[in-house]
Amino acid sequence: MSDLVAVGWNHKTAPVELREQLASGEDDARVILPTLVREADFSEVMLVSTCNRVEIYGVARSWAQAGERALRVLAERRGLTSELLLRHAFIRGTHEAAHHIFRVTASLESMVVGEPQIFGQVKDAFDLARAHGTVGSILDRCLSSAFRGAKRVRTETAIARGAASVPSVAVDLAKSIFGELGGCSALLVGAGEMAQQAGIHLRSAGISGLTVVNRGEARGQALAAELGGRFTPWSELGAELCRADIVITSTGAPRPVIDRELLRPVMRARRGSPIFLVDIAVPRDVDPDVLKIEQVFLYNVDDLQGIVDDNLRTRASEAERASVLVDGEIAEFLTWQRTRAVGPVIQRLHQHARAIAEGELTRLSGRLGALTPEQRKAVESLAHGIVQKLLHQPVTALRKSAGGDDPYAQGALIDAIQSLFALPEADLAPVVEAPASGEGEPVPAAVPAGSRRGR
Amino acid sequence: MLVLFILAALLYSAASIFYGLERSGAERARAVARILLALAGALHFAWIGAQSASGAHPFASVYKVVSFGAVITVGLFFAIARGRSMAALGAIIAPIGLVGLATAAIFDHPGVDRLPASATLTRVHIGLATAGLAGFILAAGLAAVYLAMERRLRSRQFKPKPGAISLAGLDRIHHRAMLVVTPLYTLAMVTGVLWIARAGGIGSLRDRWFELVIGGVGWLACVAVLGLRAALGMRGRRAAVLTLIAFVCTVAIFVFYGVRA
Repeated sequence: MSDLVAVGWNHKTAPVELREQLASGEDDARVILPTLVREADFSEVMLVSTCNRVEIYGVARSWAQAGERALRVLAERRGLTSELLLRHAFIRGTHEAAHHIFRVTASLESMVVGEPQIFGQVKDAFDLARAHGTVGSILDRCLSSAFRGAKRVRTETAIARGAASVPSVAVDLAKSIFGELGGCSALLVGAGEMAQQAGIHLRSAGISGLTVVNRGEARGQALAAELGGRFTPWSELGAELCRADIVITSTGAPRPVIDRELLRPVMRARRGSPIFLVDIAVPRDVDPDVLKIEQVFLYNVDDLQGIVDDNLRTRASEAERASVLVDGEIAEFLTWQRTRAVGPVIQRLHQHARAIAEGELTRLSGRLGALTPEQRKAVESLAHGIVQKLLHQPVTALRKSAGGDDPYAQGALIDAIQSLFALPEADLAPVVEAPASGEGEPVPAAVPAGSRRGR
Repeated sequence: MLVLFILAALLYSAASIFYGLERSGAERARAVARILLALAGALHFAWIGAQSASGAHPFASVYKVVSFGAVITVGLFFAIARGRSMAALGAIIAPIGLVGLATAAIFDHPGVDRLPASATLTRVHIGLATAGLAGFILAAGLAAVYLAMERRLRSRQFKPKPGAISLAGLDRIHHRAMLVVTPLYTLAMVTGVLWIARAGGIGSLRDRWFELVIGGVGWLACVAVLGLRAALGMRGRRAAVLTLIAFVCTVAIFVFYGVRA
């Protein structure tokens, strides 16, 4: 029987320094995937590499052995010690591996629960593995079910609703005020790290123009260049406020740099056009008194963090509902896998019994003398009837175990039947590599029974 | 006809409840509320149609005008809410539809004054007033939603929702609504004054001073919304407040008519 394996490192198990060293691009994956098949005894395998996780999902005869071998393969490739990798790694097998894969794909294991990128990243990794012929029927079924579960989680729960970082909340609020940001311009007052983050988010939200105003010209110009905006000296702050729709302030000034006196003529010049001030500096850069002026909207870092916390609380509560959905998909997959595992055992059991019956009939044919065709048919029928009656109970028990919840019980039953009837164990043949075009999906060897059960 | 009325009333009530649920966080309620409101509006319209077929046309009394105006508002709501999430406006429009329906059903009976819709001038006045009322309900609803959203944004109580209309979007639609409503309102005022003068002479205008003064205040508010925006860029809160003032004046005129009828 083939085990599902999940092995790797993620933000919960390994520090970022280690994850950085293990991160694999597409070119790396092209080399690693066949190596894992060859050297780590995987019959199917895929590699997911993101900023928060480097994980291998695969199918092997023994999940524990394959997991450890995979660690060694990666250790050798990266020039790291196996001990170091093992210390920060996780290795999961069978149903625990399935749980892990499904939960990762549904973004339930992400650093920010519900973040949308992971789905695409797992999908890309799966497509890459398929293109390299290292995906067979088990991974295909597992990932297809995981993708379906992830889609259900996104559509049937509110897990992905609400921004989960201060800059993205600022962008969402700006959209609530102005609508699409395509026609809006932004002004960054100060050139700190937070301003940079906010600028990146605003740029990706599609703002039309971005200006940086900073006391230090070099830093301001560098940030403007990085964000594809323009730099303006500090003395032009008032004029820039007249033009900007969204203003992000993050200076280190001890006192507010934007107050009512500065903003009142600005708002007159803007002829009623609203302005959204996001003050992410501590101490604050914008005097709260500016809110007395109409069409001025002001949020400071605490306001934004409050919304982030609220959104994260919502996501956490939705994660419980999402887990129930994902559990349903996992159960369906595991049932499929168990049903698939007992089929070959039942087939071999019947073949084995039939061979014994036919052998005995051949051996006794001389002693039985000349039988009429009817008599011969009756004897054969008697032998096969006895075989069927004897096999009925074991086969029923095997079929029942496939629909049960306990994979260990099923594994033990398969082991027992193989042992009692001395059934031959089929080998897992390595996956046949398909051409890089992705055509011709490889077919793994028949699933053998009797492998070690997972945790 | 009674069945149509009862069903429309039930659907308006249900739509109001579902919009209320949506406002309190049950997001799936929005789609249900939209369907219920659409069905309610369709049945309301069918009810008016059935009454017209039996001889009571939509301009027969001030109550019927209110009812017809309400159903037009529901139609306008769906026209502007297409492709946008405007549940807050729906939460205002659904109860207004119910009020319009109930006004005609409760107050309109054979004993009330019939509007003299025989003369062309009167027909034009009533038609303009009906269209103006529908536009005004919508503009006032938009203004109310704007004020509520602006207040929550400024008091930092606002939680962004994906797909919801923006404050600037509300202001833009509100402005467009006022661009349509103000000429209708102006023409309705002029034709109304001419109607009164023609029916009872210039002197009879003195007896209608309340409607004229209130109508004048509402008209000034409408003109101020458009004029001050063009001249000084005034928009947002002040424009919304002026629209609500104009709407209150319009409602006062209709109430006055209704009481007198």
